[in-house]
Amino acid sequence: MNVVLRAPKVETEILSPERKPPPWKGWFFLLFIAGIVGLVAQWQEMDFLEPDTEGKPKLAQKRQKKLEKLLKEFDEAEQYALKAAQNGYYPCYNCGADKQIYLYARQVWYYGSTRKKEMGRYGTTLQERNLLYVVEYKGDIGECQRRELIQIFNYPTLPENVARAKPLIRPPGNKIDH
Amino acid sequence: MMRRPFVVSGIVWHEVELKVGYVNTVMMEDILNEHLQLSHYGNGLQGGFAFIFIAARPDQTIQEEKIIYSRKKKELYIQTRLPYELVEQYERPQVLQLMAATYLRTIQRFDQLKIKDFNHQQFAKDVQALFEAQGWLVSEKASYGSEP
Repeated sequence: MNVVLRAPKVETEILSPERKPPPWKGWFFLLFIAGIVGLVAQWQEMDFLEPDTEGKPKLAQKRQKKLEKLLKEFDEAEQYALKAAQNGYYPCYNCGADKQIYLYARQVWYYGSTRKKEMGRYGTTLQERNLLYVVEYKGDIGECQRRELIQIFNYPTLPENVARAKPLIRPPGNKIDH
Repeated sequence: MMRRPFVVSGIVWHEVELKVGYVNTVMMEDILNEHLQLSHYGNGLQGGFAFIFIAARPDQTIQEEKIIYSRKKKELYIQTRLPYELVEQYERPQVLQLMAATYLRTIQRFDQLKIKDFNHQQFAKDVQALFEAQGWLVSEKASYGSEP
């Protein structure tokens, strides 16, 4: 077993009571520095705010632009129909036990509305499903959704549906009413 | 993998739906698939090549032109706008010529995509010959112009 002998501590400086700083002063200084560092870090993270000409916080330019872009999407939405591009079998969600339905070209498979572009909504999958994207209305998203609803509910009365032995309650591709 | 090697479809405003969709898109897709094989030009597009015509009014900016190439799937997806004012004016056979010219003009720029293992120059030549044989490029050259 090794024993390490330490030399006794020797105080080399003895401060007089007058020169000794009060113990809270060091802590205050540290807190102050930490506060400054914290504030800088916070402002750096808060890139969603920036000072206006009077120094008051306002929405950062890039956030403002993003907001405007999203608001524009609400104004520039589309109500569309996906129609059979060719005669053939297509999936059917409203055909009871039958999972497919034979559609002739131009017959409606689905009604929808979106404020995203066709690509945003479907990627490149539409073409794999052999459907044509037909824009029926362009405008405010609320109006698009209203028209979509009307189209879906009125689908049973379409001649192409009435002509079927068993008319469908809604387009083959619409799983629900809205 | 796309449903067919060549896929032709559309995003269309309902007023011109019949001029672009169904007959024209289906005819173009069928002709391409019957006469050409993508594998003849290399493996770069072995997953398929989809071409989507956008026939939307000028104020409809929601549909953008796009070129997406997946190296993993070796699929190419192109969305290109047709000049709407011409689509409005033309009858369906003329619109088909417009579509053919647009298709050809687009694939003639394939070199910019730098698709590996795909002979785009030969492909463009073959498509041009095919479309000419169908009579789709004849008047289009005169009425719509050619590559600047």
